[in-house]
Amino acid sequence: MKKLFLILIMAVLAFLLVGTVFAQDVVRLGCSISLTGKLTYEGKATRDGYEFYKTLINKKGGLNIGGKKYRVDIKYYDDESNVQTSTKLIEKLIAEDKIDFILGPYGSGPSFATSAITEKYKRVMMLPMAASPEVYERGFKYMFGMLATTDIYLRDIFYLAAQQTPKPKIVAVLWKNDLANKGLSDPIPQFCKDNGMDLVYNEKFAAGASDFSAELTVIKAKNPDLLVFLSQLEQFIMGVKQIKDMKINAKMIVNGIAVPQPDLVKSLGKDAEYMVGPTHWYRTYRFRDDLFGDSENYVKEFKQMFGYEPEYHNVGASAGIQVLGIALEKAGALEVEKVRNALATMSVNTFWGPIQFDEKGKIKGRKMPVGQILKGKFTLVYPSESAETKLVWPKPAW
Amino acid sequence: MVVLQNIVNGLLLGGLYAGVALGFSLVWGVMNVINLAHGAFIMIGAYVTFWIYYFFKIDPFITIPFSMAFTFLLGYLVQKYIINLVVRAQVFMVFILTFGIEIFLMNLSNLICTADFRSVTPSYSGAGINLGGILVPYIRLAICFIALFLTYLLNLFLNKTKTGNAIKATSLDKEAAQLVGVHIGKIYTMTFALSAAVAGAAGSLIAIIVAISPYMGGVYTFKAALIACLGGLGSIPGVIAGGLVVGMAETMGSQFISPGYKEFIGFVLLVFILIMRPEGIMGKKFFAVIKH
Repeated sequence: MKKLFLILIMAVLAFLLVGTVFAQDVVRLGCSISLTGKLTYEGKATRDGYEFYKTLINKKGGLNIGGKKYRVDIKYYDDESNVQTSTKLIEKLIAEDKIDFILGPYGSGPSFATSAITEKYKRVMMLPMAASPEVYERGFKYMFGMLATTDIYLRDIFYLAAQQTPKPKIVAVLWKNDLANKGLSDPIPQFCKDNGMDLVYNEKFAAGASDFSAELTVIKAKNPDLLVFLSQLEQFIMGVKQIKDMKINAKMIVNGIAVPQPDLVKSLGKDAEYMVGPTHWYRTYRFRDDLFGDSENYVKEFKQMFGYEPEYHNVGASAGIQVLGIALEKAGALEVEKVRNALATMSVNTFWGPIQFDEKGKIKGRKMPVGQILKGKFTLVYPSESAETKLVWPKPAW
Repeated sequence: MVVLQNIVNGLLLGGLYAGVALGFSLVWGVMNVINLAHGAFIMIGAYVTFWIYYFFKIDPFITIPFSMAFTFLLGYLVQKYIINLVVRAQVFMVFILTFGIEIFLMNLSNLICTADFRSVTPSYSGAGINLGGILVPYIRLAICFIALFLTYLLNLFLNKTKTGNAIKATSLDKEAAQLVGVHIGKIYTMTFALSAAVAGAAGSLIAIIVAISPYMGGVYTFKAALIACLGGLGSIPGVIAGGLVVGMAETMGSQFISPGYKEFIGFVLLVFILIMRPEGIMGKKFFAVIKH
């Protein structure tokens, strides 16, 4: 018994010794994200994107910062899909955990709130999932975002529609009253004007609404060519069911957020067919880098690791943390100011595309490709160089 | 034409709302418990329908008895082993407890079912009757009828059976009911289980028209509270009246004022009715008297 005990102690000591010899420096990143509550799906997708990068980069030996190798470690807190909680958790990450580099939450609302905290403490905030223009209009210096902003989400869809024959004339818009969807709907009057269309209906609904029959009845009477229903997935599922109930045969039905999400087809089956929406990223993207390879490769390896097909939440998060990693290497030190400057002056190509930030911290020159659900799959139809097929126009009647 | 269509929409919606509020009103009226977990039972009913539909491809309407049985059992256990422990404490304690139960059930569902949005889309979705330009979708019509039928059944149960009468007696006067041999604890458990079963049925119906997720229930708890207050606490016909009033107010408000103010209109209505008729449209005074 005594012998066994001795062996055990020796083993533990040996383990500790080996541990110290091989112990690597660690660069600690912090993140407050929705792992329970309403935004669980998007929150987890974002986290998986971060985790995918972490695993790949650590497998390669970590980040090379100032000639020394650093392993990447991420501290997560669950904000329970509550913005107030998420701001508190960011303060905790900065003040208690002493973390200088923060990864953003999912969504414009939480990003807007949490980046105000990181700015106050002058910490670097990487926002891979913030698409509202408002986020970037506050003159912040320590915040960087990876997405095209909502004001251009639908631009190319209107352009694409205007190229079709018969040319669409009448547009109806019904939008959810939240930061993201308001941002999507704001520029629509201008898009209509630019493309010679008439906006005959433009109304918002409350965030908790679950019945749209009254609004859709009014819309049906106007017989629109383009029906733009702006909401997240949950309400778009209900919306499509009710559009079908009301037999509204628009030539194109558009949503700004939910169309690329696989759950749309899973929930609606055939009824999801021909829906049109923009996407931040698509697997036919031809950009590449050393870590992820190209988008096809990303999809393959991600699926192997997590068991599901990635979409833009995962990919955007990976791209965001990757850019932060590149900035850390470029800065050559774990100093906030140096890393911030490295981000501000960055010009690299990753699988996400060319990365450069403007003075507001927003990524430059990003466009939104357009996809349509065809045969149960989100299929790219615009721009023509990455498109897999042509837009089906007009959408066949219900 | 648009107005007529919206009247039809409002009626169909109102029927569904009545189903949603039924169980909530019953528990409030009989037990004086504001059951914040009501929406969670609706959510669970919706999931039962979804999973049966998903695995066995059974028509969602046929799954209703299963989700009712499941939520009945769940409601029975929750009442007997949790709520009964504090039901004699202050109203506020029970209020907080049901809130806790809601959070627990939501997160448990999140753990088991994940937060993915799901939906039941049967092959006949979107089919309907066209009455001279006015569309009546079959699914919505069926939902409205089933919700009203459930309300009728519950009313029958309360008025014609011994247990039903005991429940009514308890809601009218707890002490007097006890004096004539009604076992209050059992009646409470029965009432709560019944309310959960009706909520489960409403969940099954809702599953066909909305997106299902662990967090879908909260909205319906609010709707149920609004309708129960409007109609009169514990009053079954009142639930139908309240449901129809809210359904109509929402559709009409959306058309003539703005879709953005739909929810707001419902609550303004509540304030008005409570000022004019504090007991609700069809409530009788004693249903709403605070008994503690």
